[in-house]
Amino acid sequence: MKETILDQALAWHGALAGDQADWDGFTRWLEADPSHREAFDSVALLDDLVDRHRPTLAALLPPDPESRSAPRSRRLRGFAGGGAIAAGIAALLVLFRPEAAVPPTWYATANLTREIALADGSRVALAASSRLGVAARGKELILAGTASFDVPHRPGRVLTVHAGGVDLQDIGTRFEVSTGPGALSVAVAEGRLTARLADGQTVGVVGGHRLLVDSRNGSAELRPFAPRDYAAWRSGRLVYDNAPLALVAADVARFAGKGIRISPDLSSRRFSGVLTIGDGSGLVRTLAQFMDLDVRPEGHGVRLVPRGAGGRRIR
Amino acid sequence: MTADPSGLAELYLRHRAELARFLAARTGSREEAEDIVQELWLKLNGADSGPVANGRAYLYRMAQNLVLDRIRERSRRGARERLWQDEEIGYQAGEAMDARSNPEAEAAEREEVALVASAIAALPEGARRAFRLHKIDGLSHSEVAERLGISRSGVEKHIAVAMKHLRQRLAD
Repeated sequence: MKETILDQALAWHGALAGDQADWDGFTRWLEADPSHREAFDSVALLDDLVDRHRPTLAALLPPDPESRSAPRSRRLRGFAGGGAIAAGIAALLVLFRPEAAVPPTWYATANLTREIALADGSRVALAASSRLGVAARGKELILAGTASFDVPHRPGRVLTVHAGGVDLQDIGTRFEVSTGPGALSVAVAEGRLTARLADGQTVGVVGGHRLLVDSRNGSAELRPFAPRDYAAWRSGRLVYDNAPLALVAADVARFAGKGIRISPDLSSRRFSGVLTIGDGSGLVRTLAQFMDLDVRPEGHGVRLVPRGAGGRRIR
Repeated sequence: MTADPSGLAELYLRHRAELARFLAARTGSREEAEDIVQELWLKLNGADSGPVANGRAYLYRMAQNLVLDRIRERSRRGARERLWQDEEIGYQAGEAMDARSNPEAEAAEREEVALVASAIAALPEGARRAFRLHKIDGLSHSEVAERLGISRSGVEKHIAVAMKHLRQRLAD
């Protein structure tokens, strides 16, 4: 790490503590080079270490006439004399407390579905390439990807699932959720739930209905679905009824295990039909055939574009 | 959320995109940025906040703190970073990333704290006094400036010098 970058990181760290913090400038500085982030991380971790162990450090440091000594350091001074570092190390063992704030526990899947049993008896089947965060002792779940939930009815249960900018509340029994960039699908097999959309609007979803949210145009629509199509991915199929392409592409990306981008002029397209997952390798091609699209390699993944769209092939 | 007395939920919706951009730059991962943007929403829903003077800065600070929680946990786990192969829709070998306490990490941290204490004691005098008053005794920059009879920017420089020494000491 270059000294100059560390100096910049220190300057930003100091500046951000002030009232007039320039967050846009800080963002641009971080974006300029990944090493800036690493330098800033090291500074932030050090600062955090000092903050969390302030009483310990106060006790360990030799007395300073300018310093408002903590009562503890006065006591230490009494028995340890001037250079109290060595004696103070023993105090560390007593004063040290692990950090209390714990971020959510994240579960992540690769190419297989995984069953997760939560402490309250709820069960989650997390599809391939999906992530589930469990926070607030299991009362708050965060989903990115596809999952089905089996939540036994219990009076007074407070469970919220946060997915794709939508909060699912008043949850009873079985439902599946799938997220894509700017799109979300929630299908309730049994019971009901309430979806609170990003704009504050709430929508009740009852058994046998699927809610499709497309935040690009602010649409939210309910459609009935056949019981055999509930969480069909668990039996090797993806079933769609007028679903936003962003959502379909996100599902296909998960089960194919490759990144998919869709060109902006396709964002309003919708898809109805059934895709067979198989080993995932044929999904992209099948979807492209159904929707009359071209598949172009891009980075580690592919981009879907309208068939015969002008312009050069990427690579 | 039924009420939004602090106006933060509305601010969140308005600034969601720029927060995501900031977080992507701050974490180096768009996936992780999205996770944190969601966590931020969760926090806002759970928070019982009164009026906030500068809501945008408040949101950035909350986001920054959520990042810190993560890098702290990550450094505890022995820097076993989550690596997302694809920035758009990533996937990885699936294991619960558990944030249980870790006795080895705690022992290492105790050593670090002892090291920081001795490094503080060895700082150049100006940096040591400013750092101690601000970071250990909790005086504001202005209060430290007054106490030491120097300018606020002088205090900031002293503290940057102190942090740099400590960081180098830990990196040795």
